[in-house]
Amino acid sequence: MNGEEIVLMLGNEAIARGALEAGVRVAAGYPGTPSSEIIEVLAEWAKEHGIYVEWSTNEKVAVEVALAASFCNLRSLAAMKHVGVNVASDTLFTATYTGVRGGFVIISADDPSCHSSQNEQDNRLYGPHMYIPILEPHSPQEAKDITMYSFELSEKFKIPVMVRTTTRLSHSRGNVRLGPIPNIAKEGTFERSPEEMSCLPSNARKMRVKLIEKIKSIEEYFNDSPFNCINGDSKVGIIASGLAYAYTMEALRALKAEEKVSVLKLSTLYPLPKKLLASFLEGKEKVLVVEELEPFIESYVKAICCELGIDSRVEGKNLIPLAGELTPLIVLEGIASFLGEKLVSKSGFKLEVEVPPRPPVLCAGCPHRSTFYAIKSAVRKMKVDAIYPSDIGCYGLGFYQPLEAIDISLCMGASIGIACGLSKFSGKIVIATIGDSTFMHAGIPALINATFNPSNFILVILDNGLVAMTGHQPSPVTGVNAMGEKVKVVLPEDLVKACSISFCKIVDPYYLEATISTIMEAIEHVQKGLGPAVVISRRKCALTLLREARDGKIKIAKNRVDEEKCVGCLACIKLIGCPALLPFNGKVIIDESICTGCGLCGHVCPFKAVMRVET
Amino acid sequence: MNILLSGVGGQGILTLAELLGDAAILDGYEVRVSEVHGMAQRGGQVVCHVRFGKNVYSPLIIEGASDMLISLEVLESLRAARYLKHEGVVIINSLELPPPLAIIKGIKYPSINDAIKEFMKITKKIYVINSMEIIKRNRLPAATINTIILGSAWATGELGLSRDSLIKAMIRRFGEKWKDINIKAFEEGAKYLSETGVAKV
Ligand SMILES: Cc1ncc(C[n+]2csc(CCOP(=O)(O)OP(=O)(O)O)c2C)c(N)n1
Repeated sequence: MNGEEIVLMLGNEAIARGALEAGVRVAAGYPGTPSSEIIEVLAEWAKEHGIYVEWSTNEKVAVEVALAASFCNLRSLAAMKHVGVNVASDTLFTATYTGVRGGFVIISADDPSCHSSQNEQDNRLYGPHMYIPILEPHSPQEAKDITMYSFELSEKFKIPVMVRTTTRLSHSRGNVRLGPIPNIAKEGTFERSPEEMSCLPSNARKMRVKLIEKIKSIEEYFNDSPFNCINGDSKVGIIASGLAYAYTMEALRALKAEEKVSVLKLSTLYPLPKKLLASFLEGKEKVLVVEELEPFIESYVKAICCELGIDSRVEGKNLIPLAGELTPLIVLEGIASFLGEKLVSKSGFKLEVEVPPRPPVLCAGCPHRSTFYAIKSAVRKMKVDAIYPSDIGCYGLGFYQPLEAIDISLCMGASIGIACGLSKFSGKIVIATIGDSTFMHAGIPALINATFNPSNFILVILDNGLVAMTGHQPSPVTGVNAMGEKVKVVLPEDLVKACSISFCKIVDPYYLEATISTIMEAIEHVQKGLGPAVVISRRKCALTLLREARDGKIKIAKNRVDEEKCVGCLACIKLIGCPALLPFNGKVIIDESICTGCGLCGHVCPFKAVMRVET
Repeated sequence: MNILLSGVGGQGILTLAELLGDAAILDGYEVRVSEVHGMAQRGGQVVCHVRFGKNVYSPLIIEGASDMLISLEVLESLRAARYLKHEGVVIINSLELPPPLAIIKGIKYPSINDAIKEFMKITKKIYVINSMEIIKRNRLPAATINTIILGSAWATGELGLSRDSLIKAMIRRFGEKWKDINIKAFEEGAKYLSETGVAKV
């Protein structure tokens, strides 16, 4: 892939390609939908192009590694999902103070509508808060171009630059024209300059003054940015950015209103270019701001109108919803009502049959299902009143029927801190669950707290050997890193012991009886007030098991239904909800292509109708 | 041209969408493909939007404007029905995957005839493809379902993409090694559609 070829590229790939064409040397990130492909793709290219790529333990570390590379005069990139920026924010808030040397670009991939997230925060708001310049592309081609431009910008003004993308751009494909990849085998160099890189109060005060100046100059610069453009010259205007711009263009076409409205496409979102905005607003009767989530541009536009005495009527969130992702239909309706046009609804199509929901489910053979089932069984057997804080990962699906094994779930690592508090104030037995990667990401300080401030709860660490939820990236327990190098593993049990926790047992959730009795022991330990009890439930992700079996590396068993014994009561499906169990001709069959032989269906079958077959 | 693909996580919708996108680029169009990654891929409903033409901005199709709906599963064709335009083409792979939650909640899984009846309200161009039968009859690998469906979609004459580009895109993605098998699957899919014609209840 070189030269002037046009290819179909994912938005995230285009960002990675832009970084590569801009001569990026170092990239770091932590997995998170919708950002993960950026680092994955760069990792694939790492060897060939001599770049260094890592999955860090969390986003804060990723930003620090990339920032350090920039301090060593190398171009670097950090990529994460929107909530990852929260984790990295402590570093970023001061990285704008220190500034950078090599161009440093951070990608924030926001997730309006929470497709794969716990919230839908709008990271454009970090712009004025951190004083970090932000740009947002509207197509995969522009994602590549803006990434390249951001490296230039970062070096020109010696400041970290954020590129904001959203799920719909990160995960959509479009035509991308490839450019040349520079051949730079550059080594890092470091020149000391402690006053510029140490944010002690005496330095930080001066840095802030400088930062304010930088932002003013960037605002001037953005007035002429090639990524902002005005189409048309009418008294009615629309301002839009990112995908909202794409939907706006489609809506104007559908309404045949392209000539009636002039459109300002904005890509430089912070600092917003005041002169450009003022020149667009001047003389307009009315203007609609079409933007996803917060009224970020709208508030600023209203402020400018006020300040400069421009009397255009500015509309925005009165017509475009605040919550949720925009769609072409929502934008079409908003623009139609702004223009006073009536829409004739085309789809008067009502279904008569009920369409049952199909939420995501834990995979067939998922070890998390067995662990949750064991936890619930132990609690039932001991007749205790238990509550279940959990965390962020595939196991979040344990919330749904039939498992219903989660009471509280907030953000990465929160299960353990919440468990510390609940164990003291709820009067109930507290059983927290957390995945291996999430434990390493943000769980450890809270577990130290459980010893430091003695807390009685059970923690079950769900160790499936990698980061499953976001697409099977390696975690510190995996033994390989992003670039495929073999590395030492960090074992959760060693960390637990280092937190001075005496109860730490390891189980394999496929051995259900042993897992149940170990959890019962843990409950007893906590009932006696002997401090936190940790159970590590270790079993590779079911998808890994299937892959390894397909590649001939391991043998796995399968479960099969004995037709003679099965009475079609569907208890198996109703009790464990495994997607390999399918109702068929009044009985149940098991889809052996996805069964991993976990045996849970056999355990719950009242008629002992499930057999185990070795393959 | 707007094509909506629907199915269940794990069925290979993303690959199908990429194939269509690649072929559209080969045919010289501007393309947008919207995919679903992340949580929904865990056995949940998955839809992909494929759009191509001269001037395309949005990666999403507007409700009621899809020229074609291709569903790899019966129930999911109904969930995506609102995207189909009047007299649009709908292709349903006759596979039934009842979601566990429907069984837990005791909601009836609609039959293929229910689905056909619903679609007849807006179009006559309904095609039901029994890909499992095609696979068994021709001893094709199970993984060729998507290629079979692609062949059927092409055979409607309304896909808007050339056969050459589709085959080229397929070879590029699956490799020379699988070329003959995929061409065979494509052809069988096309043949099945031409022979069976539109579905009736
Ligand atoms: C701050 C933050 N970073 C990243 C994510 C994205 N994310 C969701 S779950 C998850 C990790 C899951 O790994 P693990 O805890 O090992 O559980 P598994 O999915 O493997 O069961 C990640 C990285 C997030 N929600 N928040």
